[in-house]
Amino acid sequence: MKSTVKTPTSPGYTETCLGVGVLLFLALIGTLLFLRQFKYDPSVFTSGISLYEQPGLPSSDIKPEKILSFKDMEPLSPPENFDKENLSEKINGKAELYLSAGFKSLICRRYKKHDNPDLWLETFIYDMGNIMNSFAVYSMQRREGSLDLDLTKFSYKTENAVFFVCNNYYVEIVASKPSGFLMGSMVAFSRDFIKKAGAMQGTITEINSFPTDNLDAKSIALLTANAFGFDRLSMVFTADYKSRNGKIKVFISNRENQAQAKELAKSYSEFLISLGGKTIKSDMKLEDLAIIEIMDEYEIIFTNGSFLAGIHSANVLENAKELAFILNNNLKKNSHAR
Amino acid sequence: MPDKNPDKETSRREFIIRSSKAGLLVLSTGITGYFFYDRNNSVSSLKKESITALPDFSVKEKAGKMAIVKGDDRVKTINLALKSMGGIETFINKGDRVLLKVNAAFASPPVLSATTNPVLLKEVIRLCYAAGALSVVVTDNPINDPMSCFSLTGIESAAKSCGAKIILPDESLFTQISIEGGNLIKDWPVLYKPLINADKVIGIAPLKDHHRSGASMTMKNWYGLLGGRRNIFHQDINNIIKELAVMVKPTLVILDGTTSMMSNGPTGGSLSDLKQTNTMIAGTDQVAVDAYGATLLGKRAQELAYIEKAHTAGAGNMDYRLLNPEIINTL
Repeated sequence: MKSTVKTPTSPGYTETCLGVGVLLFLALIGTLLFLRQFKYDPSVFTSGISLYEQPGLPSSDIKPEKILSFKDMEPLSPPENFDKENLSEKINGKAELYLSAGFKSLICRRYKKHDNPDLWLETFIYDMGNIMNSFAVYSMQRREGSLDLDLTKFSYKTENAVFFVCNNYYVEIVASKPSGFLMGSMVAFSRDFIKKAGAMQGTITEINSFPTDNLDAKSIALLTANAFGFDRLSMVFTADYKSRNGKIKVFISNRENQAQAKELAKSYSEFLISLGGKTIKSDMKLEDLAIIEIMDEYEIIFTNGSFLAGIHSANVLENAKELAFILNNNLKKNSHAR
Repeated sequence: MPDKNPDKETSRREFIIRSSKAGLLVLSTGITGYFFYDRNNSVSSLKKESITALPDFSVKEKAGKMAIVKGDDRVKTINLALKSMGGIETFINKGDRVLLKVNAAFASPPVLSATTNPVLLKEVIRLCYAAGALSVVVTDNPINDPMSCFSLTGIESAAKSCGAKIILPDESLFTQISIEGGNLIKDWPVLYKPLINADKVIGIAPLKDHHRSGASMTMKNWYGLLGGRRNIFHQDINNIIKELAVMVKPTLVILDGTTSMMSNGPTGGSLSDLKQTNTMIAGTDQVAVDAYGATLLGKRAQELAYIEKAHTAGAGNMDYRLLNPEIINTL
């Protein structure tokens, strides 16, 4: 005998109740999930990237497989790519230095010598967005006692490392130990990199305005933020000068326009006075001039067009005045040349 | 799809076949889901034990001990420092399970002094075993890829050559912790399991400049116990170091100032960032040890905000002179 199961034509009361019940239950789950997401805990819900995996791809024009190669060396690790979000996973506490200077991306890779794994090096290619930013991180970390290289205008080496700026790139190559072979490889790689990255195209005109006599050229630096402890003083070039009475620091900052330079000069002077500085009268013919004595040192502040410039922490006022006078003339000349 | 003949009756055979198909579908979905199920993630996100403190690893009768040894031979200086404090056997008992918290933060060579020196590590392991330790484990949660860090710093080979085991920071070893009175370490993953399996904890840190905190020494070394997105703490670096110092009560800390990173820390990169400061500091008061370490970097302890904060929080004494440390010169 053939048994059958009857298929109903329309749902019954029980089925309707059950269906509504299921839908209400799903709505409840949805509501709970919606409420739960407000308690998102970033320390627990990580991106899902394992500790052993590399983070995502960078936003860089450099293609590691094309540019990163060393003669007689082989990769020791895969390329690592970092962006603003995860830069600290590579350089930890130093990330802020780069982030505050316009950091875009970083590509790193290690290489070892074919026949000697103890001889290895690591490349750090920082894309800083433009040459000003790459110069900033280069200059703020400049090593004392280093030797200049002829790779680009901004390049040097130490016993075990090479550092240089090439346009928007700031490059560090660090060797596992001092070695003639590794230094040769690092310099050859750097030349190749500069060739492939399009040689040095950008220039930094502010540097040309620093007076040349007694200038310590290696001291030239670009402070991206909070220069001299004043939070409004950003993008300030500084250079040290040797004098009989110690060091003098000269500074230049190109603002957007003349009005901004004047306003910042006034604001910086007020900041120094608020810290106990005393104004000193002078007959020097400089625009918006302020000479302030603070903590037994002298500060000279003036403007020249869109430039805010001056002398920071000089021991002897006459030396500072002489330097300020030459600096003002250089700024005038270079403004006309532009 | 609507049934063309709604009145059609279904046979028992047809019903069983359809039910079996539906059953198989549910079963296969379940199996697929089982394979995709991330056990570790669910464990770390759901298993939130209410832990408010780490075990206290300090040896009460050794409180306030500190020694400073001048010299360039790490083996010699650490031996003299420990001897001056009563000998390693007064810290490590027979059968103790010892955990060494090293700084393996970066995959950089030992010559750059950004990480714990392998020669020093080997000697400390040897001394622990000589004192009767049952086991010695070495751990850290590095900034870079852990396997590369332990390998390229020479820490892995140093540890293994002396019979110590490396514990890599597997996610399953972390537990959510909220320290009492803490504002930052609240429900935060900490490398907890290796700690609860240890009887004694020794921190071994290199002496370094640090871009954010001014210096990286023994208290900052505990940062390597944190998991999760710990980089957010860089915005409040002094307070996180203070909380770490309050959280960890070590048996002993060792600050290696033989070669110190004077600039461009914490990564360094150039030998020109380093200086021979020829000093080994050991002590049971991590605040005092760091306060002395600051002087080797040319700073006063008061210039490093976290030292003052840790002192105020009761983690130790920033006036190291009050501990009357013995100063030994081997140079």
